[in-house]
Amino acid sequence: MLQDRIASLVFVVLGIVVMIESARLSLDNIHNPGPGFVPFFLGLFMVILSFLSLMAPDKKVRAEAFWNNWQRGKSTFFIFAGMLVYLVLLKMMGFYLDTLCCLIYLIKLSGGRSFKRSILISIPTMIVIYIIFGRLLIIPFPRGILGI
Amino acid sequence: MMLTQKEKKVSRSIVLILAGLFLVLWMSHETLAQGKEVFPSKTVTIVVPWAAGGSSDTAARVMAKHLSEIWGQPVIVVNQPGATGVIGSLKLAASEPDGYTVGLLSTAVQTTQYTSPNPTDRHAYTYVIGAYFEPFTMAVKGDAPWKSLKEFVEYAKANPGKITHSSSGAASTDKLVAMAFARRSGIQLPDVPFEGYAPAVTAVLSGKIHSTSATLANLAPYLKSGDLRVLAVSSEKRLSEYPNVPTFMENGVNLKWINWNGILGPKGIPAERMAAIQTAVEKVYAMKAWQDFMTTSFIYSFPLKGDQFKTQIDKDDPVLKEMIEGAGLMRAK
Amino acid sequence: MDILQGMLHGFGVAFTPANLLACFFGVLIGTAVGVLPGIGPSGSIALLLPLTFSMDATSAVIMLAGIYYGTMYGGSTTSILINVPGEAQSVITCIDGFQMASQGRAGPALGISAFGSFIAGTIGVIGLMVLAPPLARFALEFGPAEIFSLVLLAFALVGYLASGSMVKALMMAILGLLFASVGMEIITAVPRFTFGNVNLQSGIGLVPLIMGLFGVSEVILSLEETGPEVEINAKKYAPRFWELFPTRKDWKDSFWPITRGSLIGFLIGILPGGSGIVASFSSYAIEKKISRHPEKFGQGTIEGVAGPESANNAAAQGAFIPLLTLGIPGGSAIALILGALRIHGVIPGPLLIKEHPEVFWGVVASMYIGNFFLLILNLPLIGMWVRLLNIPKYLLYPMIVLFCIIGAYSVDNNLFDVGLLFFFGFLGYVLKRLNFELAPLILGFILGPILESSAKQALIMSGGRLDIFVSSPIATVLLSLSGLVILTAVVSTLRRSKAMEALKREMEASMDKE
Repeated sequence: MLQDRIASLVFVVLGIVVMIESARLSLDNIHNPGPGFVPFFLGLFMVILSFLSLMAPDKKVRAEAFWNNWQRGKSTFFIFAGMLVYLVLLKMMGFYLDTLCCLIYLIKLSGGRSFKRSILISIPTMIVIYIIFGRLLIIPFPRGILGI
Repeated sequence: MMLTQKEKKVSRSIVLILAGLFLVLWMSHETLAQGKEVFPSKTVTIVVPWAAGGSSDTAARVMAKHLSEIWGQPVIVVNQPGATGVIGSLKLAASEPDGYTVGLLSTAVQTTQYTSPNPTDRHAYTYVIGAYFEPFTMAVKGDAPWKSLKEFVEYAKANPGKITHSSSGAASTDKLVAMAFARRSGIQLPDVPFEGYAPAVTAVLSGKIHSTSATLANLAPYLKSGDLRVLAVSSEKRLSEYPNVPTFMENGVNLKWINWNGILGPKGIPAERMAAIQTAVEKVYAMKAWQDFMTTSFIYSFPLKGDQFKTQIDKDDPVLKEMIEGAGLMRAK
Repeated sequence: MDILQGMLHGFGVAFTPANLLACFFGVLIGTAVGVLPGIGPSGSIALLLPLTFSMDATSAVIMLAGIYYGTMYGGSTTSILINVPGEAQSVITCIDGFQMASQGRAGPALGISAFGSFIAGTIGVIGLMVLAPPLARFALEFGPAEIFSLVLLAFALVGYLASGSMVKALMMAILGLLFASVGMEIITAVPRFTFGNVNLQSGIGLVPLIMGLFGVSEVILSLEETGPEVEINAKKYAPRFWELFPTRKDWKDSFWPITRGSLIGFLIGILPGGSGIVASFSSYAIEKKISRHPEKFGQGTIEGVAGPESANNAAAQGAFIPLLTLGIPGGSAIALILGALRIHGVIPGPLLIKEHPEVFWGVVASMYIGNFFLLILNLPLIGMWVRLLNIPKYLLYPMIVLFCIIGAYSVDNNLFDVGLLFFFGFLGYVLKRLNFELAPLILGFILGPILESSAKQALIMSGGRLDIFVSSPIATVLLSLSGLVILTAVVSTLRRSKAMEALKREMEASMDKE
């Protein structure tokens, strides 16, 4: 129940923020709607609906908030952390190297027994990706500082 | 799952083969030239800040095909669309000025100096050589009652607000041209922006909208079938394919504006590399294949190069700025 | 030349070795692209465009068209097996398809999907062959006011998509609409919600959004559900041979959904703004509404797979009508094919049939052949795909993420899209955990912009007067239908909640007695 309430609250806030931002963009009227017209009402509906969902919470939701179960959520947390690191390093390391590391990390996280095995799988995979997408299809993946 | 002896051997050989293949391809890609290099000695990239399939993209691909024949090196087209050409244009300006990365940019790079919240800067480029230009038009449905631009203007004056116009986008150049036409003829011409030329032209085809200013390439098949008619063109002179269509200027409207496309590069490309590109591109222009392409696409030669090119762009800038201000589209921070 | 002559000419063109090869190659790549999550028809057609330079115009279009409708076949594979759409259009198939697979019925789902696609594709080609010019002219009748009413009707059907809380489904639809308003507003070019970032000026891309919300989030969720330490399917999924095929009951149940889906999909494909997703979603909503057991939708009914899959294939064929008869592209992938024709010096327009009959009839004929190839290709592969479920998780899931990354990047060659991919992956995970349904979000995201732009365009055309929305018979009819649908949805929701209230009171009363 708690997580449901928090979610509804977040949406209420989101709706209000949207309404404020839209009002800044000028609403005009229905005969000549301004850029903020549509988002304003979208925000309004969002606020109304979120209130409704606060009043009548969804009965199908589990009682326990999903962020409370660390045991189960451990891998999830690490995946998101990894994604963040991947994005931050992307420009510097270049696509191939960064994605290679990402692949190794993900394989290990998904149950690949050891890092050695991860690396053994990831390197040939990236080479195949390079051949097919980098050379054959010539997708211009960005290179990093090292020029790779 | 522990690998068996055999599996280990097999996977080891696979990795070795792949590694070898990779190295070979890698080395061939980054040729280590010894001594004096001939330009180009590796892949040349033409950036197109529009989605694949559009007219700029098509022209770039045809050009790339012939250039790679001339140079013996791969010439690839990379699409980087978004923000009416701004994203690709900004990325081009920020790329390495070694002559290996150029772009096929258009009038849009001038327009977005003023209309885009994240503006481009026309001074941030090397103007290598122009590719082609396209005139804008004033096109109406084939069975519309106006036989000339004058009749159209008279009708619009007598019935203010009843004629609607479609454009390819809220801040598009064809809209600027249409709005300038409306202002200078003293008529009201409410504009309905669509997403791209195709729906704008379709709207006129269906009779729901009365006019559009699309470039000829987008109108050609319908002109041929008679579904659409052109009342005027925005070029300086009449076009050879349509000798009966007057220009805006001839009709007394002080308007001449075209959509140019040209090869630009980031600022600072070394002079000899720029000259090499110019020479090769001029060879492409001389080819029959290119001339045929220009004919079927209704694009016209625009061969200004280097300083001439830049000077013309600079000269046109105040005219463009006035059109943008007049249409109320100044957005740049 | 009349239709019979045209078709004979077309088959003559299509059966040359070069064109047969182009067709086969195209559908093969299309299937592969469809199966691989992340890379979709637009991306792959753009990438393979240079390959067509050495071909003539007809072969080029045959191959590219093959890729386009081929992806509609392959896309459902991963949707059914792992709840990750192979490409954007296959999102709807995830809903019931994955449920069927979870119940051990992946084979029949894939089989009906393949057959439905074949039948729908063939119906679509027949429609293309016989009705192309008049249908194209009909489509021209749809101006902004009519499009608005049509999309409003589709949007009204959103209610039928929801299997859970209506309020939550509507919230997701609104969220989708909000995501769609990021970017420059269509009439005034004023940037909305872009935070000054140039990459958001054109809005949020469909591929990063869908692959993030459905692909990446599904991977994270699955890993969390079963935990990395446990190998999936402790007993491997090894169906008996006959379990791979749809049962007689499956066939019986699917007959009408396939027929209806094909017709609906075909019509939607012709219309401006119609796309594979809109077609498959409309089919799903209609099947659910008509069905005698609507509550089973979302738990793995075959109708929920047969209808949408047929619809999106028929829509793929229908999309070629405006292109080949009027030169109007109905979507980005079709626009690419238009570009390919232009590069070859063929300008599609009203005169294409007359001036380049070999292109028109050759392509139409090749579509029959292509659909046939696809059926032959896909059926035997079902056994293979089903075994895909046995790939160890630590291989499957990272690969999915890898392809999503490549797919997201290659759309616009922009790293920002990869960032968006992960953002939506995170968002999708959170929303799924909070028991929100994502299908309405996609719907809002896709239909929203069309709704807004067509309404605003219509208002400019009418000078601000609202009566333009009932100015034509088409618009009036569609608007009334939408009103009807919304009304019935509201009434039934109220009735349901009243029934729930009554039930609750009864239960409490009986508990008090004890």
